[in-house]
Order: sequence, then structure tokens, then C-alpha cells
Amino acid sequence: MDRLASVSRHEQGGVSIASIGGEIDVSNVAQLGHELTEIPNHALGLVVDLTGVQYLDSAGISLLYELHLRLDRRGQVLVVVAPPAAAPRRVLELTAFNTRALLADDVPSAVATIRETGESRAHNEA
Amino acid sequence: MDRSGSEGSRGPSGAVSKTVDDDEQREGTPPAGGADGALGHSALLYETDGLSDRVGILLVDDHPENLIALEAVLEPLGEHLISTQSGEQALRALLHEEVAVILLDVRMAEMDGLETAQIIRSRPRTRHIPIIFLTAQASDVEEIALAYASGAVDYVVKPFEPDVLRAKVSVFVELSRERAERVRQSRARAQAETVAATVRKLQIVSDAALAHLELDQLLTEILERATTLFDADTAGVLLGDDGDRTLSLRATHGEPFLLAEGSQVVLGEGPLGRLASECRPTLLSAAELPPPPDGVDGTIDSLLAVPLVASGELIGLIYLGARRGRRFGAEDLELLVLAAERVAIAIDHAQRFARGLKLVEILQRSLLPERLPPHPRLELAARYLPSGFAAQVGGDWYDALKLEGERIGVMIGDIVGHGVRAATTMGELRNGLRAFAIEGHPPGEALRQLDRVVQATLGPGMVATVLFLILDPEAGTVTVASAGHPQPALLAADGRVRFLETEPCLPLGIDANAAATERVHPFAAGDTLVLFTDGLVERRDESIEVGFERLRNALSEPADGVEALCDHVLEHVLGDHPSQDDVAVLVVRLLEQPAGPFELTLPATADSVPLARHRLRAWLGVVDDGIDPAAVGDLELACSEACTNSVRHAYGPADATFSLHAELVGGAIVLEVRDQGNWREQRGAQGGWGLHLIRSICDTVEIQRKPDGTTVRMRRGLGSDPDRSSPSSNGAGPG
Repeated sequence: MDRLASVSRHEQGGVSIASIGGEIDVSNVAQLGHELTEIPNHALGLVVDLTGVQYLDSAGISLLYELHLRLDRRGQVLVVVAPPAAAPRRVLELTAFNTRALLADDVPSAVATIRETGESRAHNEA
Repeated sequence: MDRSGSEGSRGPSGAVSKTVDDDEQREGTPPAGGADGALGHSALLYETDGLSDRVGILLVDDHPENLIALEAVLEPLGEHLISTQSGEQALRALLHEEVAVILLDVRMAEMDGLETAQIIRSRPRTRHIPIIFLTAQASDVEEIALAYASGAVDYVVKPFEPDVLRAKVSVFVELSRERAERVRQSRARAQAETVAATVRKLQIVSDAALAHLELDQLLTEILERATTLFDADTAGVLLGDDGDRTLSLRATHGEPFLLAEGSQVVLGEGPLGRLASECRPTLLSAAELPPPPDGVDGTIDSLLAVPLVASGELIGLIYLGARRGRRFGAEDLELLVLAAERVAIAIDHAQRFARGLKLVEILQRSLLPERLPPHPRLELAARYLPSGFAAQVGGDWYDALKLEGERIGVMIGDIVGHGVRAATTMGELRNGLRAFAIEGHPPGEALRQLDRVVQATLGPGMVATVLFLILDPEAGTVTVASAGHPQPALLAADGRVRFLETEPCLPLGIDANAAATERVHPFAAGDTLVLFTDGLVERRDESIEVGFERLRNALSEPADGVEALCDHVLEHVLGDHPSQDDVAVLVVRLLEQPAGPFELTLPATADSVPLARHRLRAWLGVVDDGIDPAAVGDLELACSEACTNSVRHAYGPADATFSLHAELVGGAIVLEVRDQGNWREQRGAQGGWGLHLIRSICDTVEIQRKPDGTTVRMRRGLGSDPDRSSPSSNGAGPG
């Protein structure tokens, strides 16, 4: 069976970016979870880019929410990117994901959000 | 005169017993000639045979010496003298002798002459025979008067004058000869008239016009005519099948007084079965007949039954029954026997013809597809009508087959010519074209290949027209190529009718360089294509354009459904003119939407979830053209969420499954997901999102929990947003 989704990763200014393409559901959510949690300790945070995702349901929401909690415990920030016209946006809104975690319209603003949050945390810690 | 015969007549056993002896003797040995021969032939008075030309003269006198005297006087006449010694003997002799004149002694010991004469006069057979009385007393006027009153034509007083007596007798002998000749002539005339009438009647029953009728019509016609001719009340024909020991009632006329519909007669059993197996034409009276069938009021009084024999074989039985006290006679039976000979030949001919015809028709039908391929979006129907003229079973054919990518190939063709060769050629063309189509050749190329096959293998003189279309419902196109075949009619969804243009090309088998090329036309939902052979539109003495116009008119008031449309087209285009050629019609319609609901059962594993979602998406893509993409997305999501729940909570057996059912109901999709598990709505991050989402995007949601499983029933309209007025919709998130 073809892989339902693929993940590509890169880093940008201390922020790890994972771009997902395809569909996310109960059949591949565990595999995706493994791939996404492999994030370097030094990174300020993780951007999960859902721009290329055609399908997302509650399995994916659960994954993202767990990811958010895990990173948060490690002092890292998760920002999910879902452009307003993309398919995942509706599910993210219906589940009020944005009230629990950070949601951005595009990758640059997500990266910016992480940098701001990281700086304010560093500032607070200092 | 035969002296020994006369002597015998004087013996103790009397003349009559001598005559009987003669008869018995003659049974075994042919007559040697002379008087003995005349005796035996006397019944054939009117034959022109020289011996039997002699007439009988009966002598009655109780005195042997008188008889001897009479014989001596009359012998010179050269006629047949029959001597008897009493009135009784005379009467017995008259029972089997033809007699021209009787010489009767008035006074005899027992029965006297007068009494004997009265009895002779009272019998129809002997009433006309002149009697000459022999009396001893010329003066006995009273006796003479009595003699005349008893029927005497003359009297002779004994002792008689031999010359006078001989002259008197010879007058009556001549009179008798003349009378016999008159009777012979009138009988001959009557016989000739009877023969002529019989021939006329035979012609009525089996004239040449019947030779061209098909079997059933032939039987009906024969029985109708026979019933009238014989003044019968019921008639029937039973026919046998080859090798069968039974005859089945094949046609009847009038009330079924003898046999009920569908009756069978076993050869050798019952009166009809016996006379059939013995090939014995029979006249039966009421007492010999089987009782009438149940529910039939009335019986037959007389029945003629004649076996039908053709080429020395029993093929059936014809019967005629009469009621109302009518009795058939021997002459009726004879006439029916003569008629039956001709009828049998006509029936045999019609049967052989029908069998040969049936074979070709069976062959042809075996080469047509038994069923057309099912397709979710295409409806197909076809009809084949053999030629109205039975002898011309033709080479029309059609075919349809599934091709790659939900496309369908549709073919129709017409082989020039008829009979077995055309039918078998049709089979070759059909298989060849199938192969080229399955190989993936487009219509034009497939026809070019087929033409090469025709030119190479079927030889000159085999000409065929073929039309090949590939319908692609996804693309909404029809690709068409024709080799000299009439253009198909296109009935558009909006009701307009036109003929689908094809690139002109010669029929197959004419020009090796002819190359069919294809054209592509749009084929939209609701469009209907009508493919046909020229038998549908062609009529003798009429331009084919008129036929095309008739088809166009028929399609302008189309029937619902492709099956009905086929019948409608045949009925309105052919009308009362059965085609002289065979006719094939194939109708294919692109449906607005697939008719069937969505059904799917999958193993309760995570991998089934995307599969279920994708299948549903494909079904939603064809179920309704007007569905909004947002509705498709929402239904995919609802489907996945429900399936995810089923997969996660499948506590059933290891090989548990879950099932989906979806259909379009009242402008909305109703989707049901059913599993064998028993789960409860969960709150919290893990489980609560699913049902929450379903509720958010569907108009209504019902969850049925039963011990053997859980069913989630979701309804979602076709618009961009769910119906917010629905009570179960709910925007709030869990926890």
C-alpha cells in the first residue's frame, strides 16, 4: 500500500520545520508521531506544516495535541501551519485546536512566532 | 344351361343349398367359367364382363317335371336359369340372385304363388321384378285377377306354348337388360360427378395456396376448411415429434369435444392411439369414443380419424367429429383419407421448413450476447427480430463489452446475405472485433484490422457493414467509426434528435484500401444512442430517408427506460410493416447518476479507514452531479471518524469487520457505519473528537448500540454547509 503521507524536514534559524504531504488518519498517525517527535534538543520549537495535507481528522488532531503537550514539557514550542484555504483548517477550527495550541497561516509567521516565544522565555528565565 | 346345376336343384337339399355350395366352392377356387361363374358374379350385374351379361330367370314350380319342361323351353335363350320348387326356396334365391324375370306357379302345396308374389312385391330389392304366373286353369278369372293384383305382369296357362312362353320371357329379359344399362349409365354419371366433387373438395382442403403457409397457419386453415366441408363440429390435428411414442394436439377447430388443449395420445393406446399406430383410417361411433374432456358439455356422435403419413412415416393424425346426431359415412372417410394424403405432405413440408429455419435462428441467436455488460452509469438494451419472411434469416448482429477504464465498446453490424453462411460469418466478425477492441484499438483502427481479416479469410463476395463505438462516461465522449453502416441516432437529454456523423467509409470486404477513421462526439448524462441495422428503416419502394425520418419521429416521443425505448422504436418505425430483412436495435443511455447505493464491508483494521474514505469519495463523485465539494469533504470526514471508532473499538472476533452503507435519500446522503463492537462515547483528548466532529459536520447523527454491535447513522445534505437547524449539530468542542 502506498504511503498515505510523507514528511520532509529542515531547520531554519534554530526552528525545526516538518512539512507533511498527503492524508493523516488513524492508519498512519502512529508512524507520523514517531517521525515528528525526533526533534533536536537545541531547537526552539517545531513547525508542523500542513499546507500539503489533503485530509486530516481527529486522529491527526490527537497527534498534534499530544505533540504540543510533549514539546511544551520540554520547553519547546509547536506551531501548526494551515493556510485558511487548506483542507485541515476546518477540522483544526472545529476542534478549537487554536485555543489549545498555536496555529499559523504560513511557515514564516510560524517561525517568527517560535522565535518570539523563545526569546520571551529566555528573557523570563534570565 | 348347366345341367348338373339343374339336377342339383332337384336333389333333397333343394336348389338354394346347391347355390350355396357353389358359393362356398368358389371361395377357394376361381370360377371355371360357364354358369357357375355367372352365379358368383351375378351381384355385379352392371359390369360389362361377358359372362355376367347373362340375366337370371327364376323358375318356381313344386312339380319337378314342370321345371324340367320350363328349362327345356327357356334354355335356348342362353340366360341363367334358377329353378326352385317352393315359394320359400324362391324367396331365398332372390336374397342373393339378380333376377330379370320370375316364372311362378300359382298353385303350390305350401306357400302358393300369390302369397309368394306378395312377399316379392313387398321387398324393395325385388319389387320391380316382373312376374309371369303359370296357371292350369285359364277359365279361373278370379285367380287371374288375384294374380294381377299380386303384381303379375303376365300369365301363361298350362300347358303353355313353348314359343309364346319363350317370347314373353325374352321380352322381360330385354327390358331388364335395358333397365340395367340405364342404371349403369346413371350410376356411372353419378360416380363421375362424385369424383369431380371429391376433387373439388380435396382442393378446398389442400389447395396450392396452403403450401406457403407456416405450420400453425397451415393447420388452422386446413381444419377450418375441413370442418366446413364435412359439416363437422370439431376438428383437430395431432403431430408427433421425432422418435416420440406420443402425438400431441397441435391445432383444433370448434369446441374441444374430443380432446382438451395440450392433450397427448400415446401410440397403441386408446382408440386414437391404436388406429394411429396401425395407420388405419377409422370411422368411430359415440360408443367407441373416449369420454369428453373435463368441463366440456356434449359428446361427439360420430368421428372420422385418419393417420397422417408422409414419406412412409406416421407424422400425426387428423380427426373430425360431428354432433347433433350427424353420422359420417364411409364416403366421408374415403374423402378424408384422400385429403389426409395431401395434408400430410403439406404438414411435413412446413415442419421440415420450420426445423431448418429454427436451426439457423438458433445459430444466429447463439452468436448474439446473452446479456449486455452491466455498467454503473450506462444502461443498455437490445432487440433482434428475424426477418418477417421466414426464409431469410439474416446476418445482423450486435455486441457490447467492457473496456478499460469504465469504458464500453458497442458494435452493430449487418452481413449481406442470409442463411447459415451469413450467421457463421457474423460470428467470426463479432469475435474478431471483440479481440481488436479488447486489445485497445480505437474504433477506426479496429475496423481497419477487421477489414483485413475479412479480405484475407472470408474471400470475395462477403460484404458487411459495421459500426463500432466506444463510450467513455468519465470523459463524456463517444468515439465512433463506421464501415458503411447507417449512422446511429442520438437522442439528447434535452429531447433533440440527430444522427451522429461518421467519417464515410465503404463496407468491409469491398476495397482493401478503404480505411475507416473515427470521430469523437460529446456524450452527456441523459443522452441516448440508438444503433440499428438497415432492416429497421428500409422499405421496398421507399427512400431510406423516409425510414430515417420515421425513426426521428419515433424518438421525438421517447419511452422511459432503454428496454421500453427499444420496443417503442420497433413498434413505431416498423409499424404494420414487418421488415423483409432482419432487424437489430441497440440502445445505450448515459445515466444522470448511478442507481445503486454504496455498500462496503472491510476488516476492522486501521488500514481499512482510508480505503473506506476513498471508496466513498469515488461514489460521491458519481452519485449526484450537484454535490458541493465541501459536502464531499464533510462526508469523508464523518465516514473516517465513524470508521476510526469502529476500528478502535472492535472488541468482536479477531476477524471482525465493519460495514458501510450510503445512499441518496431526499436530497441528502445517509451514511451508516456498522460494527460488531460495543463502544461508548469518550470524553477527553483521545476519543471524544471523533463524534464531536461528526456532529459538527452532519445534519443529524444517530447512534444505536446493541449487544452485537454499534451503528452510526449520519445524514448530510449536498450543500456547502451542514443544516444548522438540525438539533444534533453542535459547535462546541469537548472537555
